[in-house]
Order: sequence, then structure tokens, then C-alpha cells
Amino acid sequence: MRKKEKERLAPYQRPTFSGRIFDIINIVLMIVFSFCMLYPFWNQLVLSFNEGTDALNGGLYFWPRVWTLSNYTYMFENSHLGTGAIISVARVVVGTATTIFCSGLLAYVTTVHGFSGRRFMRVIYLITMYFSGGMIPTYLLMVNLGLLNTFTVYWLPGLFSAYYMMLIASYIYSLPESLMESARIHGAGEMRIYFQIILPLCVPVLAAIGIMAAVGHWNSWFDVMIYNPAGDWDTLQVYLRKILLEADQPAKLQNAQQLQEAMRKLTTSSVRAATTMIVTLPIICVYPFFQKYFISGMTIGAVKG
Amino acid sequence: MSKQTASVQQSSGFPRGKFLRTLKRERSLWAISAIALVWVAIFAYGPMYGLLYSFFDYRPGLNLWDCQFVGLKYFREFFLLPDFGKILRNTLVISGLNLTLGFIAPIVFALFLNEIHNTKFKRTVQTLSYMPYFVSWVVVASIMNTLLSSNGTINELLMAIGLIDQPISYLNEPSLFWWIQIIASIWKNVGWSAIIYISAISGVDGELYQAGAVDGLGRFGMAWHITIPGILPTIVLLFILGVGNLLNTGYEYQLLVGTPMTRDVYEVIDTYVYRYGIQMGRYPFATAVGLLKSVIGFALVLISNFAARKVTGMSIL
Amino acid sequence: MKKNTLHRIISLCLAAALTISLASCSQTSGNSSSTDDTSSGGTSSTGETTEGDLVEPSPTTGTVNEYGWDPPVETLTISVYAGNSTDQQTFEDDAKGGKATYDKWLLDNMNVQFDWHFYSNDITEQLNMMLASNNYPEVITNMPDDMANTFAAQGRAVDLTGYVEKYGDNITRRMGNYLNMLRDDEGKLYKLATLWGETPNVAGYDFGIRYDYWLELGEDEIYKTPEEYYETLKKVLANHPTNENGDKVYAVTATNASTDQGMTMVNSMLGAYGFVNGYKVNDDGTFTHWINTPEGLEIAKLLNKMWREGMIDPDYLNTTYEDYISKLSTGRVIGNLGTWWYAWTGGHETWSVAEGDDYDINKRFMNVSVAAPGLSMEDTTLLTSNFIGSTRCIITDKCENPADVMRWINWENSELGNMISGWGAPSETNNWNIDENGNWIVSDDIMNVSQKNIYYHDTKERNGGTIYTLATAGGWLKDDELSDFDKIDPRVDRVSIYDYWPVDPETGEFSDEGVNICWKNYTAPAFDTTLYSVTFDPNEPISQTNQTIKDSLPTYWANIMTASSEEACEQAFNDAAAALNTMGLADLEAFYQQSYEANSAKMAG
Repeated sequence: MRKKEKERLAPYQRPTFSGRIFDIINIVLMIVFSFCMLYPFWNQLVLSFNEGTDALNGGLYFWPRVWTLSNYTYMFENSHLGTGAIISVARVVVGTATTIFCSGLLAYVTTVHGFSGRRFMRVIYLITMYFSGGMIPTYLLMVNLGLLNTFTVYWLPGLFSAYYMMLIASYIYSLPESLMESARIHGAGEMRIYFQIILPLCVPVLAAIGIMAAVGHWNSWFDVMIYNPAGDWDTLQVYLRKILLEADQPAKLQNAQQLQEAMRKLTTSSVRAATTMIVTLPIICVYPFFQKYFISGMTIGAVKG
Repeated sequence: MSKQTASVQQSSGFPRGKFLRTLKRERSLWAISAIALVWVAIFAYGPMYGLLYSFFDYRPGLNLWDCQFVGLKYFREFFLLPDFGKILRNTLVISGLNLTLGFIAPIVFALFLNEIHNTKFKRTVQTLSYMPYFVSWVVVASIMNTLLSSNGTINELLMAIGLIDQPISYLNEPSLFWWIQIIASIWKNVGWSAIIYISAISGVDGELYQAGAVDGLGRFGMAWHITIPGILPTIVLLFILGVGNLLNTGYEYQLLVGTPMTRDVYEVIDTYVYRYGIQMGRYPFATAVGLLKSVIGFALVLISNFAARKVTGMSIL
Repeated sequence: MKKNTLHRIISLCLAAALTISLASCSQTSGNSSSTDDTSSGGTSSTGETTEGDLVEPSPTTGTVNEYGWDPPVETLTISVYAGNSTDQQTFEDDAKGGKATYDKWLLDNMNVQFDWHFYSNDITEQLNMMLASNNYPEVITNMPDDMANTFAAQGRAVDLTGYVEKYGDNITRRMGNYLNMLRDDEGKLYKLATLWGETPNVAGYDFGIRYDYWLELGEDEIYKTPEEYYETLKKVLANHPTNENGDKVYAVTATNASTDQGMTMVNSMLGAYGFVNGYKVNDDGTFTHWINTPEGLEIAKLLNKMWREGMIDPDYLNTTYEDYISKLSTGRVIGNLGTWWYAWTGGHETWSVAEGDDYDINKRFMNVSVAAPGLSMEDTTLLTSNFIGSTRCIITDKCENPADVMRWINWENSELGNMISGWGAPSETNNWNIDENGNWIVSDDIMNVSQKNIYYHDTKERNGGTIYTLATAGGWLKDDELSDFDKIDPRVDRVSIYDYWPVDPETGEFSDEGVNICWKNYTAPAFDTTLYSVTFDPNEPISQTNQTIKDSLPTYWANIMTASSEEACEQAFNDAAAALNTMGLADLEAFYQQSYEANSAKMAG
């Protein structure tokens, strides 16, 4: 695949002098850029491997001063990270798969040439991007549907997304209409067109949306907190949030004694950094797998042309 | 060029008399739509009765109809805020910066990244670019404090090279607040926002580049005449949707990085609603402002959609 | 064929979805009407409770056990939402097994079980959702006062007046007149104080200084006024312009917490001037906000002078709590103008651990109280104590037997119950035990204050102390005319459900030399602020005035303090006063005065 790509690029990428200068500048630029992007993360990583009381003295930049693994062992011993991780993964997988499938289907419907309801559907969904009933009515809805303390509450309310619909639809528009037309003429049903033509052609945009949806599911905590009071379906993020927000206590607790007690138990910034790492690393590691579809999309693009 | 026009809205006119025939012909499309409609009715439109809260002295736990109808009281309250002018200005400036600099940055990044030919390097850069998105604002704020404090790295650097002779308290300098905010926000979101552009670029027809090469286009020419037009539908779409969020600036950054010294420039609608609506449990006020923002946002989407259709021939509806 | 199957599936889905939506609609309406029933029903039944309407407690064994509790025949289960206290969250994980230990003890000895509900989001938000969905447990504790009022107003809180009279003898005995403060205008009791009592602390707002640096000055007497504090800090700074790492040293700093933002410095100063909650209480009973007083200007000028002379950390607005602690422990700040225990955490508690055997006992911060010129220490309000605290506990209309719960809360408020719920059940392995004479003996391990975290707090957590409190004394378990704590080991003093201090039983001095150093110059007595408590109803306009002024004050204060000259400072002060007065400061002053008067009347009964 890469070979083919190179062949394709070859004719117009003659290594001109100015082109090389540009390449070098571009690469330097990207390296500086990457450093800026990586550093804060690296800083957290360093902090997470540094001893907690020592970290208070500051001055940690590129390497831990007092190396330790205790921040991580503390986290693994002190909380239900294992179950939390499993639930998080389940949520990401189920939530992402269903939302891609359903939003994609919706997007397809709104792009079918000549379909009388396409504009209607788009407007109906576009409105939902800007208007919502707010927290209390939504909460009451979940209560009345019996979704409290269920896994369903993580994916069902996000089944269709107007934003994803828009993105996928704009991609489908850029595909040649003739493909669908000819399939239709040959008697293919709409579901078949969706499965056999649209889905394969839309892989790049679906991959991009997959990342967004996956990250959204992985990062969300508010619905976990309010719709899951029993704590049976707590995700990793909830633990992270609890730990991160502890440091915010001075602003919240009125009772001086309670505050003092809370601050006494405050986890060190090192433990918080370790938690950040535990919660974010998995999703970053998943990213490259989605990413490869952006590139393969190019080949499909070439084929279809 | 054909791709641009492909997204032009085509009016789908069917004579009324043929209604049933149309329905029959489109039955499978309508079946799919029906599921989507039922879902949207339950999960999106169902809770919208909550918008009525803004017209009543609603208090949680009471039946809405038992609460006193107060008409536009809470809307008036919002407009009559002593700081209304300032809040509106800050909101518009901050989201204006986001909608210009913050909007262009990921496109530029995606284009530059596209010019890298070493796949491994490209993938690495792209993966790194999106890491800051995962670092919570709390952590970002503490890193900013470390960098920008009076004995922080930036001050020490600038003093060492003699650009300044007194440390500057950057985070307490009202004139710098908006710029620091947009830099921080670009830094945090650029890689994330670029994902969709990168995927759109990968969808641009490879043959166009070959044709471009035949026409003697250089690399900038390719980017300008082929890549950008190729992703223009995406750009227009995201811009129109972004315009609708003009009044939404969020409050997390402001509350974490803002200080009493910069309050005059950081106070936005969202911070105000957070403190006077959510934190105090005053739902009618929070709902009223939310509704107002939604109406304006939606109107802006329709206007910009109309403008885009006139100018570029593209529309999202 | 394929097409047909698809159709059937789709139509099935459709039908199902429609049914669900219809069902949910009907459920919604059904639910809201039932909400009405309960709330109106609740109002009529709870609103006019008389002695005769009280529910009888469930049958008990009839014998009071060694812990002073008559266990019910059937296990009493109480469901509780305990707000967002961090203790609750920690114990939810039960990492140290404290919850399990205490659960078992409760079941075995008391035949009582708790069903705790945890929500980590904001308590006001959560309570509002509970109200809207009519779904909350039997007891809610740790809630803000105004939310307790809301529950009562909607008939969702049980009228406790009769229950307290009949089953709450410990509460009425130990709280005395303060209980009246919790009554509503008709004298009815719907809420209890979650954590009440006098604060056991020796120190409050602190004019602290590095003790070792102060010793270097060789002064015979400690500073007595804010002005002298400033001069002493200046001398220390002259001796120590930079710390070991070469960073510039400052006298004081603040935190960026929304409750501080530089305001803690002002509040500490105001404490030295005897202001209450930032208000001057005039002889004629009126209240004046400090921005409208000459004392306020005096304070502003002093702090502005400190600022202009580079004594205040320029990053004081961007300093988190942790930064504050680290600035103290790395020697970048040598004074502590604010909360006393910050100086302990960032001072000797850090150093004694880090430096181990090399630690010098004099390397610490000393808490100091000062009084404004012309005022005696008795007139200051540096150390304040609000007897009824700021959080409340209610029994909701979901509770089938309020009498049972009240019996339990009353046990919690017995002296022994108070101690057990605070420190965990007495045992060989806990920090305390009951000896054959019935005395409450503390373990020798906890006599070493410097090892408090390891011996006292860890042991307490393993035994499930403190978390199981619904509504009991959180302050000083003081042996006085109302409470009887003479069984407590004389080797400890100022015992509360959180803490204790080892003392020499003979002299009454703290047995730890370091503690004595820290507190020997803190002589301000505790000032009772209970009558000055204020509750804002978020739906009243006054609470917006309050919020607006609370938001604006730090901005004006920053301008005042960082002014470039004394004239500019005075100008900024006057501008601030003018601006805040147009925002309705007079209304707020009047409101504070009215609250005080109403509280006084209530307290008298």
C-alpha cells in the first residue's frame, strides 16, 4: 500500500530545491509543534513517577528526581480500577459502534437523491444541536424510562447524533451519486446500498467519527455520575474526576474541621498525575488503529475514481 | 469542482397528488427515518418542555403548573444585568477569536501535515498533536501557572535575554488575557479538530493530484487548487455549525485561569449563568439564558447557511 | 424475501419504540400526579403534627446495652444520602476496611444498618434532581441550610418537633438553647445540625511567622498589632531575602480558591479589628460593611504598603492550595496571614517528615494572634466558632418510621454515641477503649503528635470512625454543664470526632513541645458567631445582591491592594466603596442586621 502511494506521489513530487527547503522547514516546524504538544503530557508522566512529597518542591521538568512506582501501586491497590476499566471499554465499544451505525444510516437517508424527507430530517436533527430541555427534564426522562443504574443509559441517549450526521453526510455528498443510482437501478435495497457501498466508501470519515465518539464515551463522567447513583457501572473517568476534584475542596467545604480533614487526605499531585496517565494512555494507544483508515481511505478514493 | 456542486441542496419537489405514491416508493427510507424520528422525539424533543421553566418561577420538586407564570422576567433580568455590555463583549471577542484563529489553525495544521511524506513521522506527529486534548483543564491551568508565574520559565527566559527587566504577571494582565486564552485553546484543540480535516483530505480523489501535476501545479498550487476545494464542504459545514455556537464559550478555562484582576475581560455569559443559575440552583434563569442563546445560535446558523449558499453554492440544509 | 424480513424487523422496531414512548409519556404524567399527592399529603400530615400523630418506634429488646442503646428487635435499616463530604467518598471504596468493620459492629451490637447513597456531583444540583424526580432516601445529611428549608417548605421533610421532644433528650440537653436556632418561624423543627458544637481549635485566623527566623531577631516580646507584625516580617525578610534555591522570599501570599483570592488577608486583618463576617457591629446594633469603615481603609493602607514594598507574593492570585503549601515548605514565604493550619501542613509537618532525625524543633511556623491598636485580645474575632455549623440533616417523608431514626440520632448525640461515631467502636485495636472502670482510655501510640497520621488517623479509618455520623457534635467534646465527658482520658484534650491533642494532665499544657511553641502566642479566645449566621434563599433578590458583591469584591480589593501609591490606594478604596454601595451594599448590611436580630429572638425561644 505504501509502495503504491509512493508511486502515485512520484510524478508531481519532483524534488525541487524550493520543495526541499519547504520540507525541511515543515519537518522542523512539526518537531517543535510535537514538542509543545507532548511536553505537558510528558510533564505529567514525570510527575507520576516522582515521589509525592518531593514533587512539592517543584522544579520537575524532564526526568523524575526521586523515582518511584508507588503512585501507580497506590492507585491499583486503592480503587476498583479493574472493573472501571472493563466498563469503560464496554461503553466505548458498544457506544461507538451503535452511534456510528445509526448516525451513518441517518446521514445516508438524508443524502439519498430525491428523497422527500431529507431536508425535514436534517432540520429536525439540526434543531437538537441547539435546543435542549436541560438537566432536570432529561434526568426525569431517564428515571421514567427506567434507565437509571443500567448500562443502556450510556449508549441509548447517544444513538443518533446530529453532528455526526452532518459530518458523514458532507462526506457522502462528495461521493459520486452514480454509484448509488446504479445500485438502485439494479434493484438493491436501501440497507444493502448502505452496507455494501456507503459504509466501505465512508471508512475515513467513519474512522474520524469513531475516534470522536470513542473519546467522548471514554471521557464522559457527568452521565455516569447522575444516572448511575448505585455505582454499579462506574467508569474509569469517575475515579479520575473524584481524585482531580479533591484538590478543589477549599472552595466547597464550609466547615473548617471537614476541610482540614479533607486536605489531610488530599492525594498528592503525583498520584493525580498517575491517575491521569492510567485514564488517558489507553485511548491514546487506540488512536493509531483508527488513524490507519485515513490513509487507506486514500487508496479507496483512488480506486473508486 | 463537481464535488462542490454535489453538495448543493437540490429541491425535492413531488406534487401533492403523488403523495401516496411517493410514500410507497420511499417506504424503506421512511422506515429508517421513522426509527430516527421516534428516537429524536423521545430523547431530544421529549425533555424540551423544560424550556418552559424559563417563563415560570419554577422550583425543582413543584409541578410546573403550580409555579407562578412570570413571562419574560428572567429574560429581562439577563438584559438588565449591570455588567451586560461587558459580558456580551467578552463573549463575542473570545468566541470570535475561536471562530477565526481557532478555526483556521487545525486546517493549516492538516494541510502542513499532509505535506509530510514519511508515513511514520506523519502518524507520530498526528498522534502527538491530539494529546493535549486529554489533559484536563485543571492540569493545563497548573502548567500555565508554572510557566507564566513571576519566577516561571517564560519570565526567566525573557529576563535572561534582556527583553524585560521586571517579571510580568501574565495571568493578571487584562490586555493579555484574550490572547493567552486563544493560544491555550488552540494548543489544546488543534490536533483534535484537525482529525476531521485529515480524514477529509484523505478522501480527496488521488487522480486530481495527478491531473494537477500534469497541469504543472506546484505543491502550494496543489494545496490551494485541489486539497482546499476538496475539503471545502467540510470547512463550510464546520464553520456554519461553529457560528451557531458564537455565544457558547464554556466556563472552565475562565474559572480556572481567570483572576479578580482579569475579571473585566474574562466574565462571559457562560460563567455568569454557571454562578447565578446553576450554582445557586436558579433553573428559570439558567434556562432563560440558555434558550436565548439557542435561539440566537440557531438563527445564526440559518443566516450563515443562507449566506454560504449565496456565496459558495454550498449549504448544510 | 430478504426485503420482507427487513420490513418486518423495521416495523417491529417501530411498534416497540412507539409503545415505549407512549408508556413513558403515561408514566411521566402518572409520576407527576403522584408527586403532587405525596407532597400535598406530606404537607398536611407533617405540617400539623401533634404529639398524638407521632409514629411509635419499632419494638425493641427492652434492654439498654453497654453502649447506651436499646436495639430494635428487627434490624433497623436507614438509607442516607450524605452529601459530598470527602469522607463518604473515601469510605465508599472502603480501602482500609473501616466501613466493613463498623458495619459489622453496628449489626452485631446495635442491630442497625445503613444504606449509604453516594453522589459525587454538587450537592445542590443533586438535591434539586432528587426533588424533581421525587426520589430520595430516608435521611439527607450534610446538606446546605437553604436546601433543608426547601425540603421543609415542600412538605418533604418530616416535622421533628414532637420526635425531638419525645426521643431526643440528648439533643435537647446537649445543644441547649442553640437548638432553637434551627427552628422555623413557627417554632417547628424540620432540620438538625449535621455537625454542631464549639470549635476545638486553639487558632483561627493567623498572623503566623517562621519561628526559627523570629528567634534570630532576638526580640523579647511577640508582636501585638498588625502594624508590628508588618515590621517584624520586614526584619525577617531583610535577614532572608532569598531562600536556599535563590528564589526571592515573600512575607505572605494567598490562594486562588474562590473563597480567598486575597480576601483571606483582609478577613484576618478584620478579625484583629473585631469585625464579624466582614461587618462592623455598631453600638446601636446596625451593621457596617468593612469597605464603608475607616478601619477598612487602615487595613487597606497597611496591606498596600506591604505590596508596594514587595512583601506580598505577586502571584498570590494564581496560587493553588498545594502551591501555597509548597511555598511555605520551600521557604519562599515566611509568614502566614490566613488559615492557621496551612502553616502547620506546609511547615513542621512537612519538614519533620522530610528531615527525619535532623529536624530541628524550632523550624516551624508559629501561630500568632494580634489585636488592632486599642483593642484587647478578647475583642478580636480571629478565632470564631459557629455552634450550629452550616450543614443540616433532615428526615424525609420517605421515612416510614421517623421515631426509629430519631432514636438513633439521639443515641449518636449521647456522649458515648458521639465518641463511637467519631472514633469508631472501642476495642483493643482502636485508638481508644473502655476500661473496667468505664473510663475511656486512649492508646499510647497516639500520644506522639508528630506521628498522628500513621497512628491516629490510619487506625481511625480502619475502624470506620467519623463517617457514620448523621447529625452529632462535630466540635469539641467538652466536659461542661451541658455535656458529661469526664470519662475521657485526661491525657488528651480538645477531643472532637476528627482530632485530639495530648496534654500533660498535671499542668494542662500540650505534651508536645512543638505544639506549645506553635500556640503559646495565640491568645485570642473563641468568638461565638452562631447568632450572626445568615442563610440566603437563592430565589430572593438579596442573594443576587450578595453574590454580585461577593464576586466583585476581590476585583476591587486587588485594585486597592496593588495600587501604586498610598493616594492611589485611598482613591481605589473610595471608588470601590462607591461602586459596591450602588450594587446594594446597604441592603446587605440591613439583611445581616435583620438576620442577627431574628436569630437572637429565636435563640431566646
